[in-house]
Amino acid sequence: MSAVLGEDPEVILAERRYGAIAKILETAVTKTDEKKWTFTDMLDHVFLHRALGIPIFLALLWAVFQFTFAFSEPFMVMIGIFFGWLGGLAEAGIANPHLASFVAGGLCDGLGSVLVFVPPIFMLFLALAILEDSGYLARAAFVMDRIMYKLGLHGRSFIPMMCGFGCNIPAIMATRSIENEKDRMITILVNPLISCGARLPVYVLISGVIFGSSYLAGTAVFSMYVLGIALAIIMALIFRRTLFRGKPAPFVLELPRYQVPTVKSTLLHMWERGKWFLIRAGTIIFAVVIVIWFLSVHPWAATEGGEIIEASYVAGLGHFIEPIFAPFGWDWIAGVAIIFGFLAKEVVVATYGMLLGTGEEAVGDALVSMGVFTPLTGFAFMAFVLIYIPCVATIGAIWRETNSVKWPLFTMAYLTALAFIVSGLIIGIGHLLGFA
Amino acid sequence: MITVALIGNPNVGKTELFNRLTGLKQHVGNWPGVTVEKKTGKCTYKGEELEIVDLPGTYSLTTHAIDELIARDYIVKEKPDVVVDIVDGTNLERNLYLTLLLLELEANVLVALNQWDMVKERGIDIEVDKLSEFLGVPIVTTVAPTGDGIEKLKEVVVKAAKGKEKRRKVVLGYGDDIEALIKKVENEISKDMNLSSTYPSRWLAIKVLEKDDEVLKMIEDSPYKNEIMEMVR
Amino acid sequence: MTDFDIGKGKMIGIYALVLGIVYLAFGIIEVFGGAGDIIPGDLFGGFALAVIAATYLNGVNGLFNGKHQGLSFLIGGLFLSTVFGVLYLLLMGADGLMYLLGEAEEFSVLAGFRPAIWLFFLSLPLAYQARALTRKVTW
Repeated sequence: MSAVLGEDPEVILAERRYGAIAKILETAVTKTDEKKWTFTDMLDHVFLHRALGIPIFLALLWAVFQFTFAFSEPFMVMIGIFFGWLGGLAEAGIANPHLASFVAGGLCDGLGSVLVFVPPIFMLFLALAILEDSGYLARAAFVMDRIMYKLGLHGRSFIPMMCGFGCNIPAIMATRSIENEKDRMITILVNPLISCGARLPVYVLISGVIFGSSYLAGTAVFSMYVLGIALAIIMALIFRRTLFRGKPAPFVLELPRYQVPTVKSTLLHMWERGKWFLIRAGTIIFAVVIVIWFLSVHPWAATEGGEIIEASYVAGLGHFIEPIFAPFGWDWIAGVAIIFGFLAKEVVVATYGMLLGTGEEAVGDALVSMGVFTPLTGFAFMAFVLIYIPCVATIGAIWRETNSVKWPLFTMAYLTALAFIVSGLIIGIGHLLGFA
Repeated sequence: MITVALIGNPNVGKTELFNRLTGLKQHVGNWPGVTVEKKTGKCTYKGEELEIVDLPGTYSLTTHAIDELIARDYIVKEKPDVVVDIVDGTNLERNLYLTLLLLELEANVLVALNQWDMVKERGIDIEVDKLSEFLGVPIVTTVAPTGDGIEKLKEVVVKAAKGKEKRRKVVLGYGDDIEALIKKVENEISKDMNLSSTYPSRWLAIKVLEKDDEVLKMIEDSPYKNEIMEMVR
Repeated sequence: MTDFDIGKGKMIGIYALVLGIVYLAFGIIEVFGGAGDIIPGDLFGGFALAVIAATYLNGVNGLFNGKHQGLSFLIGGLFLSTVFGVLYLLLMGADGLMYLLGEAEEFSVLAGFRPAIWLFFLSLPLAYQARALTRKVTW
């Protein structure tokens, strides 16, 4: 039998079927004129070009991040001013010192510092929606697949990964479309390395601090995304050679026609994704903010109502873990931010907002004047936040999608290890090159 | 009540067609045991009630993906009265692959040739009658966004359900060498009364040759397992 | 068929060639740190300009011969020119807003008006020509 059907009977039978279809079409269908080029064909000729395709993709991706960062800056400032004003009102106007501290310190400084990032997040989602609805995203997947296939990876993984730029959770769920179980596992394990929307505030904050001028900062943010993609590819390669050996399944991708996205549907898509951010802000982040605020103003007497952070519980916690992060040049606040960031990465920003006791977008200025981060340590910090354990909700998604406990645990372990290694490398190489 | 299953490649306009047929009378749930969305709806045509199930969009009916398995299981086990295969007229070569698979399943297939407007615009000349004859199934041209052809589709669905549409059983030949193999396996399979009365034996034979997981499992339980597997050694 | 008249093709081709070279020049300058105030240094921005240049230049041959492949690159290039032109316009606007909000010390229209912007304006005549040539093309 294998003489007739060969190694892969499915393939032979499929070929015969297509042969039959071709015969049928020959007689029943005629194309009256030569294949007319449509706009789709023309654009694909350029966007899928062997040499130009990837550079174009990278350039467009960079444009997306420039748009996200630089264009939303003034709006962030406006929100920041609002919360600053609100905080001032609270401090002056509210009689009860605990409540005043909570409203000014917890709500305005903490939650407010996260809400400041609503503009870039929504801008990012808007850009993603445009890329997706216009049909370009499929081309990007196709173009990246060429490289990925050569590396032994599966191109179909790219689309869930692109989803990951919004949020890792739907991205991990989107891996259901990957038929091959091994490809699917690799995509899930590697997905958290794609910077989700929640990490954007952290990047924007830190890069704004260390680089000041918009263009460099936007580029720093962009490089985090690139770093994430690069690490994802590397780790996927490693996994494929070790845990999940085998050849990737062939990649068939539907390339829809290009179309100009309608305003209505694009805004709808943007809102669908963006509203998750607001919901998280209203729930998880809010809850964590309360906890951190509480820990930062108690013992009340010692901290004099939240004025002296150093005397609080949270400072105690921070100093306790400080030794772990000291080699990287990060202080105890960074340590605390990282710990709480496990619950939701935006919390990293909220933590800074509250513990520095300043208004939100003034956090940036405070960090600068305090010299907390040098370009090198700041960059390494961003990388650490990029890589280490994804938020608890994502771990939950991995648990659900893999139906086992061992994979989420494994993910937590390898990501933490990788985070330390990469940050360490960045600091190490930076020192060698003469940076502080 | 007539049960109608909608199937087709992804992105052919199946959802739009489903919406046109069922309007607001839709219900969204899950296929049992999995997290794949299941949409059902109702529609009436000249007094006949149609219950429509929207199967997941697939390119093929293998066991490799959960979507395909669901679609296939539904057709094979639930045996809907009519299966409407929605085909993108501008992409016949790829879309007809699924059609052939459905014909092999010996489902009561009806083709909805969608995106008819784009077909015309691109200057593709499809002789619908010829195509219908070759495939042995009725074909209705449709334009989902405008609703063109929907009424005719409903009419033909009802006719097909009642067996009143001209249908020719078309057997797709795989070439002499493979056909010989299929015949051998089919002969052994038809000895198993249980299997051959539930599923088309030719289809089972082809699946055995393809080493289809689900079908092989069924063969495992067959009293004729050894004879069948002997043919494919 | 979307192949077109060679005479027109030569005209468009020359314009595209020149535009491509100019994009490339500015791209290289930006990548290597810029020149004075008017052309700020911008690694990735310069890279983007170079990519746009490559797109136009790739189409020059096809345009000279009146083949539709050339037209593809032209359209692709125009698309990219527009994206980056609009992007930098928006950024300039954002800078202006920052100045108004008191966050930036100065607002230099000259510095904000990056090469990408006026190169985009320069590409508009090409867009007009392309539109005429593709009147009958569907999506």
